[in-house]
Amino acid sequence: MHFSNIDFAKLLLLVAHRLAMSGAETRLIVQITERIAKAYHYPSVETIVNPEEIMIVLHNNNQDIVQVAKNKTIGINMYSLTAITSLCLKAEEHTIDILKFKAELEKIKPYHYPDFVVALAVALASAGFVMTNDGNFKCMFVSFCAGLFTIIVKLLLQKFKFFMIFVFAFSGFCATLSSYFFAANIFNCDSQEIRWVLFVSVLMLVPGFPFMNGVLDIFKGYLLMGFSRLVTALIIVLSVCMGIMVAMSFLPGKIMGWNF
Amino acid sequence: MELLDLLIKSAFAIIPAVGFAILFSVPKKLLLYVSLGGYVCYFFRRFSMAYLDCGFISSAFIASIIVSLLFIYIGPKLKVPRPVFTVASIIPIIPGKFAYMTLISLIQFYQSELQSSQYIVDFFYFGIMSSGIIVAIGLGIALPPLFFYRNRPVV
Repeated sequence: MHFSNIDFAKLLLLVAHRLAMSGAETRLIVQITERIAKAYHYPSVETIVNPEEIMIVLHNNNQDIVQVAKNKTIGINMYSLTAITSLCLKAEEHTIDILKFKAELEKIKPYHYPDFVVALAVALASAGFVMTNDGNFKCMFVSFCAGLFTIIVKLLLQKFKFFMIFVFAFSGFCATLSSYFFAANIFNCDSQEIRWVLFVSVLMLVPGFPFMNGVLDIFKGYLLMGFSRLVTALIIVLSVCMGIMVAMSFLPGKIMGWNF
Repeated sequence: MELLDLLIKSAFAIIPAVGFAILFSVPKKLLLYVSLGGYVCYFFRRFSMAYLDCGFISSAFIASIIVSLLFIYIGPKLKVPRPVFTVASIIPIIPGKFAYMTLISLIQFYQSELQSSQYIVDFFYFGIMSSGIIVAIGLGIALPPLFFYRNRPVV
């Protein structure tokens, strides 16, 4: 099968698009595509990543080929990221030809852990947060229950494809209410323990990846991408805050005091 | 805090780190390294607070620099990009308590009848602490690679 320049530009665009979708930082996307091009003897390739689009410009034989795709992060998936990166390294070592590269790239599907594993892991993480914040074992158990409830709600909302702000706001709302319910009504915790459980239960909603990628992008000179990721992180935090504030209005007034 | 206590307590930081790594779909064989990162990050944060007399912000900065350096060493050996490990590793030192207190003091200010200025002071104090720690973590992770990766690719 003949592989034309347009086919190659499309292949590079596919790589860049897959990397962007799985939450790679911008420099990684740029470097990987340019290294693949170099490995297959296309020395002059430019990759431009904006918050809105990804563009590949391939210069070859006095001909410029431009391929554009919409830039969209659909979910963090480190599995695809590592798989695509190792494929790029294989291409660089010249162990696979371009057709096989394309076939293997299409074979890489985003891998997700089963939902019950994710729910259990995040609930345990919630329990772990209690101990990292100097809590006790009773609080750990309460946080585990509240965390499990919240992550189940979040996974369900994501499954039904609700929009991001609502998912995080409603999860923050459920986290606060469920942790108060479990702590005060079922496990009879004292005020200090309730406070621990309340702030630990929302920690699972921190936007780690948009924030970290935003900072990394800004430091590497991709200001537009960096700011767009940081704004995404800020929106997530604000929506969680909104959920907590609404939930707080349902809690008894004494919960507001420092020594509740 | 005794050093032994600290060593044992840091083991609890592995749980959030690995939990978040699973949420981010980090491959199974790399979860061990994430747990190491979480442990090291939390340990050095508490260690620098207890033994080096650092504050909340500088201890977070030191811990994230150490995690970043650790994965600058491990990442290229495994041929895996560093954010796969670093983002999950810094999760145990996220300043949840300060961020929550910021929100609580804001709610208290507008809900209290007297509108005490103490709430505003608290709001700014906790707000500065939490944003300072977050910026320190970000800088700690982002700065060291700039010194090491001047002329070579990321993986």
